[in-house]
Amino acid sequence: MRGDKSGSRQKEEREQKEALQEELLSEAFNACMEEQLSFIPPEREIARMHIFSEEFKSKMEKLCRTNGKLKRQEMTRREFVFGFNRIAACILMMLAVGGICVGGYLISKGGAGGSGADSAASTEESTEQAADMALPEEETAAGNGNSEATADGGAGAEGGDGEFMGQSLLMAEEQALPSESNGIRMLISSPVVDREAEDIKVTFGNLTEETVTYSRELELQVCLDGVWYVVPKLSDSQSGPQAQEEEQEQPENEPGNGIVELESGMAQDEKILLSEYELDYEAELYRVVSRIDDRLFASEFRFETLEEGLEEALDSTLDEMSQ
Amino acid sequence: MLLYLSMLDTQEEKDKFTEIYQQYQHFCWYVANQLLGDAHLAEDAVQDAFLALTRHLDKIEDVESPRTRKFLLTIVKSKAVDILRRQHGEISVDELDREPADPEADVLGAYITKENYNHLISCILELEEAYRVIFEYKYVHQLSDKEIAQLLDITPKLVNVRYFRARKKLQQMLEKEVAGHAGR
Repeated sequence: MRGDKSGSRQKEEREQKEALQEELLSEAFNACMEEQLSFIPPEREIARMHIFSEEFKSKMEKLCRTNGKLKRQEMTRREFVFGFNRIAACILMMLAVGGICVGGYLISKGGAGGSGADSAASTEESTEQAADMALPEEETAAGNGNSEATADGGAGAEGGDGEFMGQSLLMAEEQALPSESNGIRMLISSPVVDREAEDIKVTFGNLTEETVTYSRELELQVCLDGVWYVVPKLSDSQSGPQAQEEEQEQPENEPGNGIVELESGMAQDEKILLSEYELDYEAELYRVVSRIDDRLFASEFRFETLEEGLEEALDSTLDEMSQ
Repeated sequence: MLLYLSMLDTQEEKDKFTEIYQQYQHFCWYVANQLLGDAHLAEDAVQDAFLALTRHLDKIEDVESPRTRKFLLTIVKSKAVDILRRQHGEISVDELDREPADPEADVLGAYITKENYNHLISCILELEEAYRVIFEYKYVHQLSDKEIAQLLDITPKLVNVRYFRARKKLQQMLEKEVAGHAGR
């Protein structure tokens, strides 16, 4: 009993100490920021020092006009309709499966007795009706422009080619690829990617003692029925202006042909632009593939599920409400 | 009605964003230019900072308040640090391991006392911006790891790794500073 009391007192004291430390840190960093701010001249004075470039002005004007959210909102609305259709289709499918189970149970139970058979037959009928009802909903979901249409069947494991989002796919030349080997690493910033993400950051790390080279040509592959296929890029005209701008930028440490030298103990970030691909957010798994010193490496990711997205949106809404 | 409200909200956000941009564009450029020493790269940092801000407008209550000025200071500094990292390929290799530092070795708390407050201030002033911004997001702006991760475009786990590394650095500096003062 006494031990419990002293334990809780110790815990309380520790918490108090931590709170005091946090307060001191907060106070100290605030004071340092104020000092830093005191050295910054007034806005008008800085405006005289520097005139923003036209490129910057036009980009910022665009950002102000859209608040950087236009694309995001359009996507959310589209995803909402798509998600709603999917949920409706799922409910009907569950009803259909439930009907089949009940029907099966009644048949097995009423196998000896005659009356059960009639009711089982009627249940089966209702099941068929439910399945019929489910079909148009599924068609609506698939026809909503967004995704899953052909991901389910088109790309079979048996063939060299497959179909995905209305495009024919080629099977990846190597199926099993490492993300790390002998001190060379290729990592994606997050294994679960936001559906609104415009690009994915890929980090190349060289833990060996020698300089390695890697290709900036990153390849996107999708896993369908356990087989990896190469996702083709959309044509340049279809990809966004941002993609084209990024393509023009070439880092200085490139020897040429998109080959980058990575010195020992260094790491380098690259980006793969998602706007360059027609994507199915429901696909099980994606991976980014690149060649490092004549060896292929891959790093896998998937898109967040609608449930995860909704959960996040709900969290932020609750946060906003609590504020 | 809901649709109307959501539209109004968006318009309000747009106005708020424009107001912040008009008020702080040169300030942000100045801060970025001080860190990067390149006017053009500083413009890139400002752009990145405002783009990050579009997702966190809710954190700004009063556009003209000192808090907003501080928030923008931290965001633009962190974006400038990101550019520096990219420019020099300076993502340290151990960052790739993504393992947080050993919590047992973290004794920074022992140095954070009222008696050491002045030492703490002088260490913070000397601390590299890459480390400072993580502390600022946490202790000045009271952001969670998830929120910091969104602003820095990294994972919350990596935020934690950077935070522990920043603590370690501050701890080392404080150890030296306190020992130096005691030796005098």
